[in-house]
Amino acid sequence: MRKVLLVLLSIVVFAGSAAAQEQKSVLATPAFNYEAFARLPVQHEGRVKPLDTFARVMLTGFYGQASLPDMSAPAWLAEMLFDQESAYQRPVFNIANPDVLTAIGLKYRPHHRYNFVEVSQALRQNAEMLDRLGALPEGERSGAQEQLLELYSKVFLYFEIARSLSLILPVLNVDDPVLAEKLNVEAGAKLNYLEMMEHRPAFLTLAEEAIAKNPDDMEETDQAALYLGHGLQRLAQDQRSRFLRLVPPQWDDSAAAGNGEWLAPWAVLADGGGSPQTAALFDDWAALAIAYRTGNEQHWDTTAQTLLKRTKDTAGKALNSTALATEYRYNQLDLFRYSLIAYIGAFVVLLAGGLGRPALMRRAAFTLLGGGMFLHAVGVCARMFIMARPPVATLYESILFVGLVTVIFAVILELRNRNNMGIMIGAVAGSLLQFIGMKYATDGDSMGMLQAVLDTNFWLATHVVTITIGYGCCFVAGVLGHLYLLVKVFHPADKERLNMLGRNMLGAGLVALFFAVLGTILGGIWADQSWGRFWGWDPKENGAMLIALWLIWLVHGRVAGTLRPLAFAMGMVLTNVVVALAWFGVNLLNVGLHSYGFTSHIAANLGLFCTLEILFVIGCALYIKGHRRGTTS
Amino acid sequence: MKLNPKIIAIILVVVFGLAAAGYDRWATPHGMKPVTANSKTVVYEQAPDLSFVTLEGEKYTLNDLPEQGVLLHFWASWCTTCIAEFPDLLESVVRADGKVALVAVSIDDDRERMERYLEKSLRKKASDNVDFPSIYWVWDEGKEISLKTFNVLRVPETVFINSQGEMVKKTIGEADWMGSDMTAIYAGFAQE
Repeated sequence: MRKVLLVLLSIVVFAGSAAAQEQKSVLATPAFNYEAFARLPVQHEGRVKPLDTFARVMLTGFYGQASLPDMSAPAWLAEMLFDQESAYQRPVFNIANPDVLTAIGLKYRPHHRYNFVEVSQALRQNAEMLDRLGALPEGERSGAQEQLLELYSKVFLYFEIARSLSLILPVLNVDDPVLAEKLNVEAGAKLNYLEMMEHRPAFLTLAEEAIAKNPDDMEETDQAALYLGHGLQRLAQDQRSRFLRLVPPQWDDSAAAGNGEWLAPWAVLADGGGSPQTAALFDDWAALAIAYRTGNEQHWDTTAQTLLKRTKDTAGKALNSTALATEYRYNQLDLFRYSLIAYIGAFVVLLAGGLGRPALMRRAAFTLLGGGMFLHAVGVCARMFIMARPPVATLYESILFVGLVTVIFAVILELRNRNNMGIMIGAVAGSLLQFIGMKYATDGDSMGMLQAVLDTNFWLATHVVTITIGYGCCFVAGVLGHLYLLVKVFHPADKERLNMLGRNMLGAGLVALFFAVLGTILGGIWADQSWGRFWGWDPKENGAMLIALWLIWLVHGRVAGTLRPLAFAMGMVLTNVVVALAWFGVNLLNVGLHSYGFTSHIAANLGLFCTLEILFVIGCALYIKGHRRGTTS
Repeated sequence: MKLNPKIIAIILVVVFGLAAAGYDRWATPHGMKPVTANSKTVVYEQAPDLSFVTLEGEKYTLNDLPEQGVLLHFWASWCTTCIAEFPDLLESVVRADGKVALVAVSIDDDRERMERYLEKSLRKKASDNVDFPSIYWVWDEGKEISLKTFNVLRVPETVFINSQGEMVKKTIGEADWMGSDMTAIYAGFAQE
């Protein structure tokens, strides 16, 4: 298998180098309107999505960001598909690890960006080392070695995407007039693979004649025929490009039901997916390629519109065009980024209120918080509509939803108390969770398909939503605990504020307990239906129970009076640790039936968060104890 | 904060109301309807009204054909799978007794090679079936039907077209022409 991969890599390098040595594309990057192109449906990771989402996910995978400095993701993808000569020269591979660069002999660059040609050549020169690395068992490779193998896969993927539409690119030049006449095309014609196949009988005759000749006796026409044959052969190798599934399926019952496998253009030819509709689609794609390569904006616009309509018509009613359009709009609006900005703005404005005009600043901060919450909620609802499922199905979505619940809770607190506390909690918790969410958003398609275990919408809408509401309430209670301890440290004499915080903490703790217990019980009922048992001591189940037990202990202790407000506040701060361990920590174990949320690389951050929280509690406790002694003596 | 039962009640009503209201919608993804091969809920694409010329020089269009159903079969003389399944394919069309037409489109580059195969090989195996009136032998010069209209490069492939001109099925590769599935499809054509 590795040998095959090495051969493939050689082909990749050869093709890349050949393209680079060919004339550099004379086209500047066309400034087209990419909207219709970006709206085209494509099936990727089991889901039909706009090409815009696909391009963003892919570009993020290669480059680390969803757009290039001078190019949107759809524009980048269009260049990949229609003008590989330029695409191969564009520095999109993000290699920041100096060990990886040293291993393959690339020089360090401050911006960490390298193009396809230089990366693929560097990898090819180190093919034996890659072969050895690939043979190592998992777990025995260093971080840099893992990244090197990942880079190796990305180079293949990049090439595969770039060659997805090579069957309709007009790259076969028939310049020789005699050859052109025998093939019955105009001299100077540029044919694509499909067009060339129409002239196959005449071409085969010419090629056979040329091969039969002694090389010294070959005429220019013979050489042109052989060169054409070489080009045809190179294109035929692209049949392996199956990643970009642009063609709706037609020929099975599942296609009519809307859950059929879409086809890559080359697969249509190779696997028998052809039909009059695919032929028309290929004609449109070919016209689009010509418009791109000739820089004809008007032709590009009209062809992209036609192609979009035809693809939708071919996909039929099974394609949810409204969801597709909503997803495109969702991508454009970037609602969560703006809600993060609004939350940060609310925090800053609230602090600025300390300098003067506090009433005005409070109103402004509350408006910003409310605006952020609105954008946040619209984003969550849009995702629900697009995916036709409840708001929480992945770890990323749980972060978004917990953030929203926290902000809503904070807004309710502010409406009740009108003392800036709710604004502060909402702004801090909302921005923190949105920031963490943004980190997860770059990890592939944030609207991934559900693991089979989760694919039960009723329980997703009840158990998962309830338990994540519980997380959000715990988070609010935890932030209140922080505030209590800070007030206790800096304004120990402010009894009124401490009492208010104590009451709110207890209320938030009770609400959190209610949802945590209800969610856990609902989860048990779901588990009974899905797995045949109510409780199985799975890590996630244990985590949920830990939260419930922790809150029961705290709330019970406080209500019964055995826990003083200070101890209760410390416990509430540590609730954040318990929740973080149940929410993210169990996923690090990668065991149990809930391991669908497995995440790596978060152990350090989780450890840091828990340590800081514990240190905060200990630090505050020691300070308060010391302060009391000082006051008493 | 005092625990306000009204707030808890409102949150509960919202959560479970949403779940209950959304259950029906979410239980069945958008646009999905149960379909079967013969179900009328499936909207089939219309086949183009192709015109073709048989080896005898007679010109037809798909709509001209008197048979109820049409098998638009793509094959080549160099294709071993095509050659292997031809006797069964021809026999199945003969058994349909004029209800099903076979338009056998050869994608051979060389017409003479194709005709040589028909005369010297196939006729020996399938005897008179080659000349059955519902079988139309076509050489696809210029790949007009195969590549340009149906994107066919690999053979054998067969598109099934019903009496309304709808493309109801396609088989890719070797098919079981004498099997019960095919018998059912032929019977369906005959009833139309």
